[in-house]
Amino acid sequence: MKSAKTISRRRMLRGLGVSMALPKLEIMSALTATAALGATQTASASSSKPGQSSAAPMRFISIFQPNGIYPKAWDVTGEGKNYEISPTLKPLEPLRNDVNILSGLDNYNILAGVNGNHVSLTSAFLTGHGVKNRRAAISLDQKIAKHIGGNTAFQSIVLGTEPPRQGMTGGNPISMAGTVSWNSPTTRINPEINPRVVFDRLFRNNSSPEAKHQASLQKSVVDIVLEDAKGLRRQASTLDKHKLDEYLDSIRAVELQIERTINPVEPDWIPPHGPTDADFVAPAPGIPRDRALHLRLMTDIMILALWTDTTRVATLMNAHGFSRQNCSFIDGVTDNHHGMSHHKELPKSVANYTLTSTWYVAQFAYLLNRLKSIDEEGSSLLDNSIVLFGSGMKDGNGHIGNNLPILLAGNGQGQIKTGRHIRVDSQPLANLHFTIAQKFGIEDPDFNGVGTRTLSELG
Amino acid sequence: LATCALFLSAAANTLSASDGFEESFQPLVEKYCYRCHGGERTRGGVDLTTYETSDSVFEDRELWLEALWLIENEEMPSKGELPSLSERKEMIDWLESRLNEVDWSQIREAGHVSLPRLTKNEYNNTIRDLLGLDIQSGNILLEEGEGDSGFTTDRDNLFITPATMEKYFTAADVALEAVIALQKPTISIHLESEEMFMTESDQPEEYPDEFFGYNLNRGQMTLYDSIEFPADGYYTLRMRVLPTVTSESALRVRLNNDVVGDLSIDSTEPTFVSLTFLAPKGYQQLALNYERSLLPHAIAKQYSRQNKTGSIAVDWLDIQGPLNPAGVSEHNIDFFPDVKSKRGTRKAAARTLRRFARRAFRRPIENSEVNRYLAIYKSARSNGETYASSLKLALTGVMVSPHFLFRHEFGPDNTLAADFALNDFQIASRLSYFLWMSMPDEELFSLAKKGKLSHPDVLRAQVQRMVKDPKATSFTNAFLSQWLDYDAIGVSVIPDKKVFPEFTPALAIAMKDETRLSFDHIIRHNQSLLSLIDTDTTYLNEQLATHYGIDGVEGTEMRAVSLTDKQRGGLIGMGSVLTATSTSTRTNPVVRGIWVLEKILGDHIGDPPDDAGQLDENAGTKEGLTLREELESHRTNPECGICHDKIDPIGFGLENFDGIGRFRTTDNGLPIDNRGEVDGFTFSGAIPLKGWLLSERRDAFIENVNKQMLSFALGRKLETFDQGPLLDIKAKLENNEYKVLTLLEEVVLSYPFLHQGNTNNVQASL
Repeated sequence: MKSAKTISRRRMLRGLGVSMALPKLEIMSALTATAALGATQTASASSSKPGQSSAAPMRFISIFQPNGIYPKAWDVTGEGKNYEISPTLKPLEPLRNDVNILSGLDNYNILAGVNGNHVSLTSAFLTGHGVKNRRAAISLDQKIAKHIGGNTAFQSIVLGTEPPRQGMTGGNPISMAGTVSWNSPTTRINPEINPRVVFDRLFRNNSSPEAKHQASLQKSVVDIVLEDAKGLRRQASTLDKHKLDEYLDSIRAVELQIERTINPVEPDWIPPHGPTDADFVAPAPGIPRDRALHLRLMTDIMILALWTDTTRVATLMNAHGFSRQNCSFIDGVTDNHHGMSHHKELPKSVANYTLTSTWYVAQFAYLLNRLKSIDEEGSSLLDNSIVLFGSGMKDGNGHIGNNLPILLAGNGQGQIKTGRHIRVDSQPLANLHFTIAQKFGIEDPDFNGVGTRTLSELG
Repeated sequence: LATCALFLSAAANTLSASDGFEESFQPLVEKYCYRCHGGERTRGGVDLTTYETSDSVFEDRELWLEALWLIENEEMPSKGELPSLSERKEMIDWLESRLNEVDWSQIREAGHVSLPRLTKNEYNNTIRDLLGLDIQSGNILLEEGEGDSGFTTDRDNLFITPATMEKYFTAADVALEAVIALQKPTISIHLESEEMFMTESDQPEEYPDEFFGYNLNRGQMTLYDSIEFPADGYYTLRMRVLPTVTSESALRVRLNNDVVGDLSIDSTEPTFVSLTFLAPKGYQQLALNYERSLLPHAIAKQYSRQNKTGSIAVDWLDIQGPLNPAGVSEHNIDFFPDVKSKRGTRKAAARTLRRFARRAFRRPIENSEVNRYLAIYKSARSNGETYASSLKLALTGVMVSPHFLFRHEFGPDNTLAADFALNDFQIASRLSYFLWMSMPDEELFSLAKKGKLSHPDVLRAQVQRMVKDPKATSFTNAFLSQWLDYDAIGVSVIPDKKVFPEFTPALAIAMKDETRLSFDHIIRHNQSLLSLIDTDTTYLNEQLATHYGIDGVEGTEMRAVSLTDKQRGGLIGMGSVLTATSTSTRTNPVVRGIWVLEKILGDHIGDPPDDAGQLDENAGTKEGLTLREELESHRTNPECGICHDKIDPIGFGLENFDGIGRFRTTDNGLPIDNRGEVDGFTFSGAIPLKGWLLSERRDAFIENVNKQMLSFALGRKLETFDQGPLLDIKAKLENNEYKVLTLLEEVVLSYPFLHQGNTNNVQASL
């Protein structure tokens, strides 16, 4: 059963012609004051000025895999172009020219609080930092979002499939492993896990006269509460000011969206071949109980958002960083993900673990195939992206943080030579963050103080 | 900051410069502890190299008390060279004096509770009480994780991002639209069964009394249609139905695949049934199913493909709404006032806004504040908006204001760096967000206005009143499920379908309800907290009673049941806890043992070494070793034994309960070995284990419950300086037979509950 919203949307698309003006249409409604799913608003605009460039923009996608992988089934033999693919990576064989397999990157940094527990290994995946006194550091996706996301409806989107978990580990709440995205050292962005909620927020018609009218009304509300927050901030003790800063940043992001609805920004790029009716079907309300379907829906929504240039930065957590997901929906598997990851080399556990990792890699292959199939006038969406896939740990058995399983797909508009197994000298994962940030034009002297070296091997 | 730090040090009666830390204690720690807990190696996540001063040890008093216990009991060091008798004594003496020779009555420190943002749960409840309509529009907000305190009320763990802010706008709009819809004519939809969709190709059938419609006679058959709801709100579904085989039958009603209600029918003639449910605005799919699990056991058991017992035919259905199941609210906002003049409507708007903002901000408000929000109304009006729409916009402003979303507890102007007593309105909110997880009601507001709320007798009376209110369910539910970590069962912790086909979502709900209702029972009868360990009353419905092997409980409703079976009664005999501490396919004695030690007794069991490994899912089910034998062989490794010697035996004692909490005496054909030994106490099974907890570990249990309750109430992790209030609470409980109301009252009367500090907690505890 399609909702009324979907039906009217379809009509609208038919009426206007599909390839015409999707990005304009897809700016969100001001009434509900949509803002970037994850980032604070900054003044920095996209590297290409409005109207100046017709080249497709760069996108950054990161996919987080919890609980590590089984090294003997993941590691490939040989280096460079002629490596021999491994059982876990088999689903990527048809895509091998589009992917680099990286070895030698480590996620262990006692000074930055990264030790062997799930919370720090997860938080460090995109920040390079563990959690100390509830602080980590800004994550790579958010850093890039603040730099390039300014001209799209959403600076970034952060998606997942599992709610925060209960309990404590290593002195930290397990809930902290629920996200890899940090808006600031103290503000975590919890992933949206409800496919319909995120679909509705991303793809609302915002160009109608009614939407503009509502936006202008909404503006008076924002003005008042913004003033309220500033007044409160003046009264607050230093310990509470950062909480009000979160509020201020968020309400300013809403304000910006409202202004854009009233005075739309000329898009700096329009996707030449937008999605069709068949691509644009709102998922049913609620969270699907079918695990495979859930992840597929989140992946599809992410693709749509990138395709329509609704956002240029997307992060997807395949599952919570300490996922105990029962994986018996995969043929031949009879255990939960975390349980099997502490396999002790028992054949049954190793088999479960390998099958599960391979299933996740197959889902990644699906994503890459879709990105590759989307034509952006001469290049594919994949060509215009850097896609990072990886886990915060290598082997779950022992929480090994060295020689991480990392895949890097897409050539980032020719900046990365793909199709290779690249073995680098043992060094921090943050060096990869540093290098990726550079490819997006970020000229910081280092990445969060922990990534200091450019991986020239990628170029 | 400095004042507090000095104060505590003085109270501890030690001067860090000369208390022997550097001379004697630290060298011994370095010699005997660093080998496993120093820098590179941090067994159990403990790194002792970070304690460089005497004060840093005191600051982490919890951890060092545990170390003291381990050293005293010769549990540590667990390997390598052992300290001499005199060295051991030196360490014990130093720790004893540093950690325990403290005059706690001299220490008064409120600690800092971060600016509290409403949790998702609190948001929904507050909207309910503010508007008088339980619309749950905050459900679009994300679930919050638990913070350092172990609770989602932990204020440090609550963030606002642009996405959250956007959702607050939507949630406010939806809620206010729902209130407006209540003041418009209701809709009425009539659907004949034969005009609806049917998943099977069966024809509708004709029955006597002009009854014509589909007959639902097996699980797969779904009668459904898409219905447009004009606004978020409650709607009543009324149906004409006829049981066609047995007089007893049942129907399950779903909206978009979520169950919104179950109906039991007992009739031999066409009859009417109705149900009220919450529906979101727009087109939604309504579906009706035959559901065998809802039938009385005898009828369900008889079912065959031929006789189709419990079949039910549907003639037609009516939907009406929106309506307010709670009736017209005393706080009703009149969106369509009967005034004509411009001045009259503006006055009405101002009046409504003033009352609304005062309640929403939970404090008296200034005229100037009302006028600022009235400006939103005025500007909308001058832009041609209707009264209702303009007022809605101004109210939306109130509902997205930081004064509403945050419950700020700022002190008088000159108290930025010191503790201060909360004012009566701030106390009213602390109290109501503790016991109701919602805003204060008019009685609390009125006491606050009169300045009476800080009076101890008034506070006690309010606690007693508030816990009797149905709104307290939110508190008991959140507190218990988060303290005891069973919230995820049936949601993300789901037993394997192949191994435990009996585990259904309905059973999970019944299990959680049992725990919450048992606690509510203890509160309602002001029973001892020890009833949480052992008691003779629990709450069951038919499904859960059958699951436990208890006869004589019929129907889906949960009710108090007197237990004759001593295995049940108390938390460790409850399905919620037993399922939450199992893997998806089997019991996990290790997890159960840790659960009892940590959740009941407040121990901190460190994480195992990362390479310790976990038992295979199939452990204990393959030939050769039983699960118990596998675990026992693991414990022969001294590094494992140090924790597992106290963990595993408790878990073994609970082996009579399977992975979803059913009682059993055999596993896989082998008799259950439920023997265990802890601290020299040997026992078999849950009954003596409960006795041991009550007699030998009573203090630890009570201390732990007190900590959990205080931490939940404050919304922050407890610190060393909270020890004083905890000791006071414990003393009061000991004099009052551990009665639960004493705990709640003493928490509310405690210094940190009635005060707020502006000192960073970590620094304050120096």
